[in-house]
Amino acid sequence: MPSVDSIHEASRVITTRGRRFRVIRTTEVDEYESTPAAVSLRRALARRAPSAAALAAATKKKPTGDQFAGTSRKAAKLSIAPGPTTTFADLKSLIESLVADDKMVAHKPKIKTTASAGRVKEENKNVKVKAFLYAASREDDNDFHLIVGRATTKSPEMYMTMELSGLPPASSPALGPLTAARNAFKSFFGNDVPDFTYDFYDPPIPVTIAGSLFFDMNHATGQRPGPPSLKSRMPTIWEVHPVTAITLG
Amino acid sequence: MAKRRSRKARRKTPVAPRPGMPSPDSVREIVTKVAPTGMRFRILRTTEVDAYEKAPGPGKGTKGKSKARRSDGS
Repeated sequence: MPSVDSIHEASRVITTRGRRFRVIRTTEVDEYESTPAAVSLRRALARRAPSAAALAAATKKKPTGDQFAGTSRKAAKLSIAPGPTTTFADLKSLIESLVADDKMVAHKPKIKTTASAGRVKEENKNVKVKAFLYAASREDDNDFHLIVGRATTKSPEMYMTMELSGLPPASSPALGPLTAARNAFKSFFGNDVPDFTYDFYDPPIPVTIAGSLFFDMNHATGQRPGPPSLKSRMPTIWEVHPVTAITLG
Repeated sequence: MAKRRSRKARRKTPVAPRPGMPSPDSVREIVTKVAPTGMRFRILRTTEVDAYEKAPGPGKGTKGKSKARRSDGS
């Protein structure tokens, strides 16, 4: 299939000898194509400026240190759920075990996004899963967003956000595990820890991740988190947040 | 008897990209990395950001200052 970004029309269906085909019209041309239309299209695409958000991300000032710098649901994000840990062999079964997003949005009492909003009952669970790291970025609250998916051989494709949180204050009982998880990630990547734009990994990196469940109420409306190339296969805004242990490679 | 495809025909079969790769248009740099565990992999640095990331707003003192929502992670 073509790159999703290159499709400009996919509504035409033709029937020939009893078989139906969908025609997917794209902006893709052979590199050597020299017709005037192809040349002008190539020039237009080559001149295309990066998105404003990508430019902003590239010029953003890096957060210093490892302290958490956000406010939204800070109490929940910097705490470890008190519940037991359930181990999943496949990310799909973890995702299927979660309470539906629309039920969480309609949660009673309502999940607040203030700094002091702690975990709700459904979030008081810990999980552990073996999966693969496909992409990662660093947020300006100092969290690392990890986009974790199933093995490339498994279908359907499915990804979920898991976050290595910025660190809590020294008085927090979560400081030890959160520091250890963050250090494990940073020492695996060395000088190549991700920045504000997403890094993708090829092949995806095998990971064993443990952490607490967290419902991202902040993005229950509007744009959902995730890199545009994978977002359509991220079926939930539930996260593992914070990650309390990670083994890579 | 099953027909054997010639080497030429096999070579022409398009290889589908594996799942989970970024849009080729977004890749700005590729580096090869060897992790401390010995795993060798490529890092594809892209221009992709979360869609809720704010675009640069107008400069200080500009009229009609944008009220872009702060991207407070998630």
